[in-house]
Amino acid sequence: MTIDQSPVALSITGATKHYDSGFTLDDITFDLPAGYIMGLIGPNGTGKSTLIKLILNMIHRDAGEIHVLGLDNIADEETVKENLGVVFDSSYFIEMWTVNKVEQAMAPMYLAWDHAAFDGYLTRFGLDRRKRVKELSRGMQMKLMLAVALSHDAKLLVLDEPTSGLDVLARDELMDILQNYIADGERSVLFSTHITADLERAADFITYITRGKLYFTGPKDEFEESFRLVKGGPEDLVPDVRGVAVGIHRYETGFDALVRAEDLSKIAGLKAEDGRHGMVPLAVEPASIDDIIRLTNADDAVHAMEVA
Amino acid sequence: MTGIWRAFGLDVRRITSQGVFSILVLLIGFPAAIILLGSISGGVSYMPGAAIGGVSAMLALLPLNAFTFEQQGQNNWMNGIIPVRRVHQVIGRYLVVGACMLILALEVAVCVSTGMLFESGLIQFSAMAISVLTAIVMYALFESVMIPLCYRFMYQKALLTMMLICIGLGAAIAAIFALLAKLAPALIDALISWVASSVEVMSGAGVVWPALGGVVLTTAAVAASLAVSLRIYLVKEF
Repeated sequence: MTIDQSPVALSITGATKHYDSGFTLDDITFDLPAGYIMGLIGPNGTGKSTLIKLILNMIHRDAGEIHVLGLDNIADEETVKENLGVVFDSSYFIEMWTVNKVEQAMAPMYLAWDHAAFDGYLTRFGLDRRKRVKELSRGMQMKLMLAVALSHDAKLLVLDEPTSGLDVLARDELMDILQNYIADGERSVLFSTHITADLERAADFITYITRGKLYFTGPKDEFEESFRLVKGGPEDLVPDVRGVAVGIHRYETGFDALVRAEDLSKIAGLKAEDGRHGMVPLAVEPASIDDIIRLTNADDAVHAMEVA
Repeated sequence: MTGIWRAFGLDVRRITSQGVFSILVLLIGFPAAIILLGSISGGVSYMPGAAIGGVSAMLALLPLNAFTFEQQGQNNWMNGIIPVRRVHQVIGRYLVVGACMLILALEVAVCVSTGMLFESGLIQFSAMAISVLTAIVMYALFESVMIPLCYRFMYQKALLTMMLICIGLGAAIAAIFALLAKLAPALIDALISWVASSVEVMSGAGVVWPALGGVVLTTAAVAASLAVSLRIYLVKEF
């Protein structure tokens, strides 16, 4: 089977996975258009890796559909995986293997394996072919997985926490690589991360999952613009604010409340233009990605719901 | 078919992760050394058995090594990344078992033939074929149980389960014989004479019928084992 250039690199519809532990990844739906980078974010244990494993058919979904480049990820598994490059947060190669043996093992797996490209990435990343996987640092192991993922003309890169073991320079380099990778408009990237600076740098779209549910999916700018941070003193946490806040963090000297931008007007007396609220000051600030994640997972957070 | 070859190739690379040299030494050097020692010392009678025993043990462990490497770190994740269906991954692993069977057959044939040459200067092909067949059937039965166990459990637990199965089978057979000896001793005599007469009939029938029986038994064991392994692996999550 061949792949026609699909306008959607990844389409997930109603993907659901129940675990015996009680955790459920519930009804996840989003599309990643071809030619873009999507950041998959959320706190630990909220289902990001579960979703990636569902895409790779490493675990079985209980409901929903997943299409990669227009093909069903299970029915057309081999074609899909020929066109997928995958990087995990820890190495999946046998530790005894040398870098050279990694290529010997992986090259026959792909019809489009490009030895010259792999060699180029090894040089670029400073990877010695004679070194064993176990002798490489975590960052270098990640680069080795990335070199493999980039050397068989993959149309979609799926990266699970790729930057977690990297220093700032290596993260920067990785983001550059990802940007270059999608430059032709045909390739796409889905990467999960905790490091929001990476999202600011590279992501075009964000999908935010928390408590196993989809909270947001859409353009990155829209994500940040969808929320405002309302700050006030302890006595300013009036019912109006409580009523619209999707998450509140209280501390001794006041509170931070995350409010949807369209709900700001529901806070009586709040002047959106200067953030003053009646007799007492309520400050309204743009919400950062970190603020949104932090407050939607605070104890007072309203249970997750899809907003886009 | 491509997927099966890819899986087979990957398993071979897993098995040879610590180098091909040690495997070659054990598969070629070990029997060669035993044969040489046997011929020098005149202990030709024990030579084929010792060589075959060593080689069989080595070959029995080779396909299982794929599991041990797979279970190290996150190597099993590779199975979720490569463009090979799970069905083909399992078939590829059984192909490794098949390749090991061929090597075993060759090794047994060489060792037994050499033993015969040293002893009488002649190779008795039917006796050699029976030796090869016996080794292959035993090997197939062992791997047919071990591989599904390794798909189901971690390697160490699979080995432990296999040991328990062997002990349990041995104990059950011993208990049945003890019970029969107590309750119906004539039945044991009848059984022994039936086995003896069967062996006599088989030896008279030449190598064809035992060979056919061996092939049927091996095929049935491997087919059942493959079905169980697929059933386990297709629903496995990693």
